[in-house]
This record gives sequence, structure tokens and C-alpha cells, in this order.
Amino acid sequence: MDVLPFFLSGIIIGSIYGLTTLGLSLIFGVLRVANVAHGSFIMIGAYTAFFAFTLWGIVPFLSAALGFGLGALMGYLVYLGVIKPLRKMGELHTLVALFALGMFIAEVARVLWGPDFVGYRWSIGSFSVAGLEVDYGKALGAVFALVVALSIDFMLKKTYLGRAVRAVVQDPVGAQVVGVNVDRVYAFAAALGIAITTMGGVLLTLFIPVGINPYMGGPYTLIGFVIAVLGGLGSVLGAYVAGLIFGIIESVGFYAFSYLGFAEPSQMALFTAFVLLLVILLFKPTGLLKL
Amino acid sequence: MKPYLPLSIYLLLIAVAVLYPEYSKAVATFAFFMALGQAVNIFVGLTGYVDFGYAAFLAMGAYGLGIVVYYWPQLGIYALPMGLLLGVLMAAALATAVGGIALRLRGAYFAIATIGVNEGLKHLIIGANIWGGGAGLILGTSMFKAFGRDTALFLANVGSTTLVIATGLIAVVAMYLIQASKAGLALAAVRQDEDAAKVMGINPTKYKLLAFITSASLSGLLGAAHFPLGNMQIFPENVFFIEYILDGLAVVFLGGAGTVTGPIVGGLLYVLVRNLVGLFAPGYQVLATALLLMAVVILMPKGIVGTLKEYLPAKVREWVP
Repeated sequence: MDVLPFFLSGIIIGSIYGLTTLGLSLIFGVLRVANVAHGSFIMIGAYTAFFAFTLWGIVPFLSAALGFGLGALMGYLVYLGVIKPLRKMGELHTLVALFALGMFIAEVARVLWGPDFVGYRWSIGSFSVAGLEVDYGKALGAVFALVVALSIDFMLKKTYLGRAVRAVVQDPVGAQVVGVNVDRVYAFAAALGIAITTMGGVLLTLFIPVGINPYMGGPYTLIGFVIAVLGGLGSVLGAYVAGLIFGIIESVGFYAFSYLGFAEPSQMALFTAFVLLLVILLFKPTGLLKL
Repeated sequence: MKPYLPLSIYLLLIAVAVLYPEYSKAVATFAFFMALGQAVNIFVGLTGYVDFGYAAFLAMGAYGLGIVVYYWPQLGIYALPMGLLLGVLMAAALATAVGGIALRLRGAYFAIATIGVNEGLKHLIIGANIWGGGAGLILGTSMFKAFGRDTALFLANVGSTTLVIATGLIAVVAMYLIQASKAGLALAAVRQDEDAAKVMGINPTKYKLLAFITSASLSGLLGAAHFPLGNMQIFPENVFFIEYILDGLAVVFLGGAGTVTGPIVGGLLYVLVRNLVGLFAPGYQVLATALLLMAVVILMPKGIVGTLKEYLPAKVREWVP
């Protein structure tokens, strides 16, 4: 077995990981809040894709827009209902409330849609590169994620709104002094961040044909934070690049663990992710990438 | 602070469990959540940090006792104290490893670092197939072999319950000792302003680690008392169950983080709510718990005891720590 196909498929799923983490990193950068409910929003995105496809035959790229809108609405509500009232209480309360929110969303999903694994398959053919069969859907998803990541980066760097966001990141009080509506920027960052996360969840379903489940979010929360920390928490482009790196580590790690004869290579790959998180936080909590 | 009220409640519970063995399991359902809250509170309440991988400490304690009973049943009754010791040591060792690394980090970063601990260890045990792997450890036969049939059944019923309540009791004593010492003052300073505390010559990591290891060791004891001793089995999916973190936090915040009586009130109320929901809307318990925790954190951030204490005269307040 050759390692190159694993490397390539790692890059492709890494692009999606990068996109979902971009939302997480944006929220942390602007609001200084670790969105520990991250995985549950990915799950909502995955169900959006599933129902849009199976009920109305909407392809994932169109339901990505649906997921984005839904995520933006949820993000705005989360800001108003949880983050804003707890800003004066400090970190502990916000973290605990978001953690409870994540579990609440997962439970609501279970009540509504049942605990079983569901999925769909969108086949539009595939092409072969370096010994790897790549679905057109997956490859397009990766490119789509790249385009979205670049446009968010462009928005943050070149537009007025983006500059206001970056001003708040640098100094919320200073931004307020020069006339930036800080509260509105916070709400915008929360809405945009969760919108991107949910959209990432939609695209993720291209890779997990039978993996949609109310509790699927847990591992993605872990993966999200590994990537966010790797890219430097708060760095948007860093999150995307770190996503690519993590995709490669996960995929090649899977190859290595199955080569070494472990019974459950995917479980071991997740364990590696957890060790990686601790190691990076120990040696370089500001992240490895300067972007 | 006077710890007599919480202490006497736990002593009363032990008396009920020993004198009326038929109610022992019923008492245990309450006591487990009280003790869990009590242990979680030592860390969350005293430091203001939150650990999302906390269930791993329950699991370490469970595996400690489980390993000894499963692999060395010939130790006889000595397997019990040695297993409990191993469980507590394993939980403490994990806390030292995780805390040594992650407690150097502030608030949110610490929380992030702990997100993977629970799942990571579960994946390691299942993935590398250690200690029975995904199939878990079934301890019934080993316990009969080690303790004899009657003793094993007695231990699984009254023994387990007493130990669970005793964990809560030890946690109250530990909380009292920490708060009455220099460490308590140091932790209060760190909680209010970590930078200022540092300037005053306090080593924040040292005291945070102290609270973390104490809390983890007690959870280890609780895990050992509840899973291998009480249920006679250990499944990774059970002992690493993420909902225990939610439960622990709900009990702590319902009662009031940092208060000693809080977990008793919180635990009692929490079990009541859960059982009522289970009775009238089965399957909605976790949903209700998550909603309850969110509501309490947002609407009553100081919890029941914490809020109540503000209205009590100073003389009475001392008795309700």
C-alpha cells in the first residue's frame, strides 16, 4: 500500500476541516470565547445537507447556502441568549453554558430525528489521480471550502466591516472610541462564525456517507480545537492551513496505525489528535503558523 | 466557616445505608450525584476553571479497582483496598499529567486542552485493546472469587453506597481543610485576579494543581465505588460517559459553585428533576439537564445556596458554608 493516496485524501478532507475551524477561530479571535458547542453546529449542518438532499433533492453545494443562513441565525441567537448576558460573569460561566448548549442541541436533534446513523450518497463520478479515486463531489467540496476561506480572509482584510472586526480584535475599547459599534461586531462575528461552522458541516457530509448522527459532533469539537490551536487561535487563514495539515496527519496516521496492526486505527488517529493538542498547547499555545 | 451541617448530612446518609440495606441503592442514586458535585466543586469552585474531560477521572478510579480484582482475584479481600488505592493513584497521576501541562494555561485555553482527555483515553483503551478494550471488564466472577459470594454481594450493595457517601464526606473535609489554610486564600486570590496574585508572590499553577489533584483523586474513589464495586462491571462507553461532566457541572452550578453545601442541595434537586422528567417524559432527561444547566448559569449564576447566602445574616451564613 502506498502512502501518497492517503496524503492526497488528507488534503481534500483537510480543506473542509479548515473551513469549519475557521468559524471557531473567528469566534475565539473576536469574542475571546471558546465555542465548545462547535461539534453540535457541524451536526446541524450535516442534517441540513441530509434532509435537503433526501427530501427535496438539493445538492450539497446549494444546501451549503441553506446551512450558512441557518447557522447565521443560530449564531446571532447564541450571542444574544448566551454570550452577551454572560460577558460580565467571566469565562467559566460562558464555557459551561456553551457546553450545555452543545449537549442540548444534540438532544433536541435526537428527539426530532432519532438516534440512528443516517446518510446519503451523491455520486457524480470520479477521477483518478496518483492511485487515488477521487469523487468529483469531494474534490469540488474541497475547492469550494478553499474559495469560501479565501473570501472570508479577503472580507476581513479589505472591507470596512472586516477592518472594524480586526479593530475590535486588537482593542475593543479603542475600537469603540473611534466609533465602531463593538456590540454589533460581536454579534456579527458570532453569526458569521457559526454560519461557517454549519456550512462546513454541510460539506462534511460528502465525506461521511453514513455518518450523520445527533452525537457526531463530539470528535469534531476535539478536531476543531486541535486545528484552531495548531493554526493559532483567532487566526482565520491559519485555521484553514492548519486544517489541511491536520487532514494529512489524520489520514496518514490512519495509514500508519493500520500498517502497524492496531485493531482500531481510526480510534488511534483520534487519540493522536488529542496528544497533539496537549503537545502544541504545552510548547506553543499561540500556534505554529503565523498567518 | 463551620462544616458541621454538610458533614452531619453525609453521616446521616451513611447511617441510613448501613441500617436499612434495602434502601441502600436508592440512597446511592442521590449520593452519587452529591459526591460527584462535591468533587467537581473542589476544582471548579475553588479555581474558576472548568475541565471538560473530567469523566476520565471516574474512569481511572473504576479501572484501578477493576484491574486489581480482575487480574489478581487471589489477593482475596485485600484486592479491595489495593484496588481503591490504585484507582485513586491512577486518577491522581492523570490529573498530575494533564494539570502539569494544561494548568499553566489560562481559563479558556485550559478548557480547550481538556476537551480531548476523556475521549482520547477512551479511544486509546478501545483502539489499543488494553484492559479488555471495547468489550470492557466483567467483574462478577472475579469478585465472587476474591471476596466470596456473600461478601461480594454485600460490598456491591451496602459497601458501594457507603463508599460513595464517604467520598462526599471526605470531599467536604478536603474543601474545609483547603479553605481554612493558606492554599484557600491563595486560590481565592488567583480566582479573582491571577496576575495580581502572581505579583504578590503566589505560584498560581501550584495551587491550581493542588485543587485539581484533590478533586481528581476523589472522583477516582467515586468511580471505583460506583462502577466496579457497585455495578460489578466496567465498560469504556459507561465510565468515560461524557454526560457525567454535564451532571457534575449541573449539580455544582445548581447548588452554587464554591459553596460546600451547594452540591448537597444541587444533587438532591438534580436527581429529583431527573427522576421526574424520567417519569413523565422518558428519554428527555439529558435534554432537561442541559437546559437546566444553561438556565441556571445564565439566570442564577451563583446557584441556590450562593444566592441564598447573600440574604442570610452573617451568623447563620457561617453555618451554611
